[in-house]
Amino acid sequence: MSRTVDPEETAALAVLAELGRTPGSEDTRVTSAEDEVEDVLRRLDLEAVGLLAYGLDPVVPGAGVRAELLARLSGDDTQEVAPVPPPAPAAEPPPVSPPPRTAPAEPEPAAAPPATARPAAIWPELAAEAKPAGPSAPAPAAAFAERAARRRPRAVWARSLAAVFALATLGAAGWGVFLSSELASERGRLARLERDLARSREEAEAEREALAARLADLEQRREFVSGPAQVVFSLRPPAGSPQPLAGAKLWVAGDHQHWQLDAAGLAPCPQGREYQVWFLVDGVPRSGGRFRIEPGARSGSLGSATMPAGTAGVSITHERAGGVPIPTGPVLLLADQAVEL
Amino acid sequence: MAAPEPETTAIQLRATDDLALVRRVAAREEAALAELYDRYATLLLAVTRRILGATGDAEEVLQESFFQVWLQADRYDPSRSSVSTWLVLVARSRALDRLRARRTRERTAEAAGQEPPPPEPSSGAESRVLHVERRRRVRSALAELPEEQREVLELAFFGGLSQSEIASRTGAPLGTVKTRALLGMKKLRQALREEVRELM
Repeated sequence: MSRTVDPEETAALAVLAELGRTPGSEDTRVTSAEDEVEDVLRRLDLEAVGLLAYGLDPVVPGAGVRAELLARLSGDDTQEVAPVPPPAPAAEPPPVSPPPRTAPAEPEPAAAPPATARPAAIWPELAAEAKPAGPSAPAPAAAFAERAARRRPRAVWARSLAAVFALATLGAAGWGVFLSSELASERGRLARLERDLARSREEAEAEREALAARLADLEQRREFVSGPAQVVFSLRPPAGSPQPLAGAKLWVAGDHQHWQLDAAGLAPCPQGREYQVWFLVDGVPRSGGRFRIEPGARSGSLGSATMPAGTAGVSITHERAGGVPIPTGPVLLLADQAVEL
Repeated sequence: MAAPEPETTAIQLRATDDLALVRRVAAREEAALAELYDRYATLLLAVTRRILGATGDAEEVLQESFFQVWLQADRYDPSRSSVSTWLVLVARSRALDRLRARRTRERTAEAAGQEPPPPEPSSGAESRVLHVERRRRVRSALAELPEEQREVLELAFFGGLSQSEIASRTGAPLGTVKTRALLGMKKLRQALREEVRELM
C-alpha cells in the first residue's frame, strides 16, 4: 500500500532540503513544488524560516562598509563615497550683501575746492573784499586783501568740516537704506518660514492620520489572523490573463466568514473602473466586493465579515465602477481551491 | 443574495516598498541599494556574524551580499519569497560559503552550527521599529518551540547542515531529526503566521 503524500510535509521537506544544499541556491526555487498547494505551503515555510534571522540581536556595521560598497558600485573601490545626502533644501535667494561701511554709493558730493579757489557763490563777501581797489583807495583795499589772506586757513578748515559732515550724513542715509532693505528681506524670509511651517504642520497631520489608519488596519488584521484556523486562496493569473504579473491571497478566518484579500501587481484602475471579487459557489460567481488600485499604488486590500457558504473558489475581474451583478470582464486572477493553514 | 459590499481600502505595504526598491536596484539605481542597505544591514550582519562569529569576515560578507544583490536584483522573483527573506538567504549563503572556505583553509575542527560568540549589541538606536517588533515576536515564537526542534531548525538554517549532518552532529537518528524538523517548521509557521502574512 502506498503512503499518502502530505503536501504540507512535502513542502517542509523541500525547504529543509533547500537549507541543506550548497550555498548559491538562494533564488529560493524548489523543483519539487509542483502544484499550487505545495507551492503556497513551501512559500509559507520559507518565509517562516527566513524570520529566524529576526531572532538575532541586530549588529550595526562600521560606517566604512557602506561607503566601500557604494564606491564599489561606481566601479572605483578606492573612492570613498559619502552616505546618501538628504534632499537639498530649496534654493535661497542670494544674501543681501551689506554696503561698505564707508561712503555709500550715492552721487559723489562736489569735491572740496582747492584752498586757493574761491567760488563767488560761496564766498561772495571775500570775492568782493579781494577785488583790487581802484587807485583812489589803495590803502583800504590792501588792508582788506591782507585780512582776507589771514582768513584763508580758517576757511579751509570750515570747508573740510562741512565736507566730512556731508559725507557722514550721506553715509548715515545709505546705512539706513541698507537696514531698511535688510528688514524687508528678513520680514520676507520670516513670512516664508511661517508658510513652510504651516505646510509642514499640515503634512505632519496628514501623515499622522495616515499612520493612525494604517495602525488601525494592522490591528484589525492582527485580530483577524489570531483566530484558531484559517484557509487561504492563492489567486493567480489564468492562462491568457491580461495581467500575468499580478497575484493575490485571500485569507479566511476559522469562522469561514471573515476574510481579507491582499492583492499585488494589479494595474491601477482608470477612471470609472474597479476590480471586483467573486466567490465561486457551485460554479456560480457571487460578488464579494470591489476595490481600486490607485495610480502610484502597487497593492490593494479588501476585507469583510461575510462569505457565502460553500465557497470553493475566488476570482477577480475588472468591471465598471459600482460593480456588476455578474462578471463581464475577463478573469484576471483565479483560485479554484483553498489551502488549509 | 450577494454579500454586502465591504468598504474599499488601498494600502501601501512595507513589502511593496521593498519590492519597489529591488526593482530600482535592478534598474541600476545606487540610491535604492543604499536605502535597502540602510533597512537591512543590521539584520544581515547579525546573520553573517551568527554564522562566522565576531570577525571582520562578517562585514566583508555583508558587503559581498549587497554587491550580489546589486548584480542580481533582476533575478529576484517576488512570487518565490519576500525581499526580506531573499536578502537573508543571500547573506546566509555567502556566509556559509565563507565558513566552508575558512574551514578548508584552516582545517580546523570547528563544527558547523557551533554557538558563536555572542554578538556585540547594536551601537546605535534601532531605527526600524518594524524590526524591533518582529524580533520580539520571532523570539517569542522560538521560545515556544521545544529545545530539540529549535536546535534542528537553527542547525539547518545557520549551520547550513543537511538532516543527515544534523543527525550525525546531534547523535539523534535521522528519522528523529526529520520529525523534529517537520514539527518545528509547522509550529514556527503557525506561531509566525502574522509575520509570514505580512511578508507575503
